[in-house]
Amino acid sequence: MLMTSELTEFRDEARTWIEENAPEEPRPRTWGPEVREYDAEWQRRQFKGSWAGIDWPAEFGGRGLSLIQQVVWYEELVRAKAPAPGVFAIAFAHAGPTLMLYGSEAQKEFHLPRMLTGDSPWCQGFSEPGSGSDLASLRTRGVVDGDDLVITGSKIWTSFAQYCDYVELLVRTDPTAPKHKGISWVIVDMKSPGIDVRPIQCMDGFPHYSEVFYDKVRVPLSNIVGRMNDGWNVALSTLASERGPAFLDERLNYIVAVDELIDHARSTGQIEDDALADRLAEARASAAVLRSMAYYQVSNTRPNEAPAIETIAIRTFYIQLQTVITRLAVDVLGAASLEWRPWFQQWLTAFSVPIAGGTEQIQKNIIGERVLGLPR
Amino acid sequence: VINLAPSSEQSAIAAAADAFLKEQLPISRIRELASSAEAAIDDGVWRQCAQMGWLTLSLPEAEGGLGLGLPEEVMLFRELGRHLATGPFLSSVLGLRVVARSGEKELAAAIAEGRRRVGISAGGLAVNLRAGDLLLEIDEMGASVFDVAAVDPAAGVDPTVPFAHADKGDRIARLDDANILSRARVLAAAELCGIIEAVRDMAASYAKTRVQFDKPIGSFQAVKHLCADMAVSAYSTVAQLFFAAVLVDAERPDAQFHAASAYVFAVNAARVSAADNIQIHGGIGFSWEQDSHLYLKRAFLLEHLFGRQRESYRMVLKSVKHNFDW
Repeated sequence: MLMTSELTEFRDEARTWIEENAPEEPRPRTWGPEVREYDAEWQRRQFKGSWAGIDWPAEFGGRGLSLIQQVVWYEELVRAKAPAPGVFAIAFAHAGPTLMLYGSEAQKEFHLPRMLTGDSPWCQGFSEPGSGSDLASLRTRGVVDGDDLVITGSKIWTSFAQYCDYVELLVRTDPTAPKHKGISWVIVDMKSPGIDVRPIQCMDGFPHYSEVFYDKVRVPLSNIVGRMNDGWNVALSTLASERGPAFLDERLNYIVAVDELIDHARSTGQIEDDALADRLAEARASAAVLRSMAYYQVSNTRPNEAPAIETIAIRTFYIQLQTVITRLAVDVLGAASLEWRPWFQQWLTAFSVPIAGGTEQIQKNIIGERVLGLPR
Repeated sequence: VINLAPSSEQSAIAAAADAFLKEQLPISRIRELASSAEAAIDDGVWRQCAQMGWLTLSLPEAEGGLGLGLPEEVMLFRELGRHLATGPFLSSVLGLRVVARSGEKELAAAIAEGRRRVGISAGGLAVNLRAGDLLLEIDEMGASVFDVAAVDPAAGVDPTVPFAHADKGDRIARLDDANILSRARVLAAAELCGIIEAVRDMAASYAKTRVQFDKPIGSFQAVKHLCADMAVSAYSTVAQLFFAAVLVDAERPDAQFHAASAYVFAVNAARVSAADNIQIHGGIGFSWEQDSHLYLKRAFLLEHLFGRQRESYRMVLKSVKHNFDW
């Protein structure tokens, strides 16, 4: 445990650059192609300014800096309320790190730079209508035909499917093998013939996710990442990289959000209500913990290694806390939140978080079994 | 750079404390002491702790200390909490700081060597105070150390800790430094962190061996998830604790905020974890002979050591904005 101020210069540089370059107009709250355009433009600007892929190795187009510098960058983005990666989140948090570990030279050389430059957003094709928590039971089939894999089936809860160029797709390539052993991790071009994207209207009114149908979609065998039928292991590394600082900005946003709630409660005088003030204080202390956990995790993670399994606690903690904070926010607004407001929407959107990316209950199973060693 | 991974030297402090406490102050011994007149910790063990430098870790060498920092003290106090160590550690470490900073060299040496002990004033009672000891009072602006005129033992909530009504004598030392309260909160949070880790491990170990319906109860999700909650609490508490320790040690402007956050967070996490641990143990968890209740009671004591929890909440709310700089 120690602290020095040697990164101050890096932080100052980041802060100045963000102040001068972050888009002034907010991200469109619509669901057309303008969303991708907005995110891509912001990503391109970051790339040109040498702020893309801060902790990515230089050989993959990144800056090869430390994880802690990546954390500082996210802090500065959040502090300035600059836009999130948006449609590029899966490319940075999932597909990129997975390709670095398992991708062929050709796959890495083609795809990794396109992620950083803002040319190609990715989406995730893991869950299926019949395979949620029991992901390995997935049934979308990939049949070898010559040099191609022919894919048929359906995926669901795909974020940003309508905007993305590529999908990281899990398909069953050996239906005779045990369920974890017959899966492959495949790169699929979303413009391939046979793909049909149908957005799903969600309880907050927005089509956050889509159902994606694959009807005899032909994909070259060279798009398999890692070995054929070893996709479950590749997917585990995808999910392990998700534990890293990749979604940190999303978590740190709650620090700023709680500060704003406290401001609001001060301006209305509600802060004088001890019960409410206590809840705000607990929320603020807990939001600070999100940041400390990032430092703690980064301090204990070696460069180019996935964070340890115990750090899954960070996500479990985050999903519980965002549930508490978004509810607290509508409580602070009280009857005023009967009129549709951003906080009301955020409270509703928050219901997806303990479900998406492994339910809270599945995460607790994993912590119980893989961290504490409890029996299955 | 902020690095929250303990260095090998810092880990060595924890390992040495762990070994010593297992050997000299196991919970069986703590229970024995609790039922004897000597109460809490015997002089021999207390002086050994003092000789190992446990009371002077963060005191500058010029003031007779080891010249280390709050992070090192946190590593020690986490072990003290984990082992439910008895004895006036927190109050003596902070009392010694007040006395040394006030220039009371002889008295400071006496505390540092384990010849004098310092108890603490909490909730109208004196905690860990015997006749002849000194009494520490912490407030928002700093802390004072008093002589004690009379000590009248009282029944307290934690059977392993002596409680008393005390008449204060003269004030011997005063230090005006709001940082003292932050250090106190961080050290208490460290003990609470140790408690959370201890009950997490107790609960998980019991859930692996206790068989019902022909299965270890840890295979049932209702039990497994309570254990997982403790693991999440432990991980989050230790992260905030270490962050607060380096910030308070560096006397950063947001140190008080992070210390108060670490403390209220640890209090709440320990309250839930210690209670869940009793539930996981079932009937035996409700018994006096099993140790679960001792962790619950120690956590309860630490929760009320600095007055009302709401004052820590007020400190958390004090600043206008979270400070991302360091």
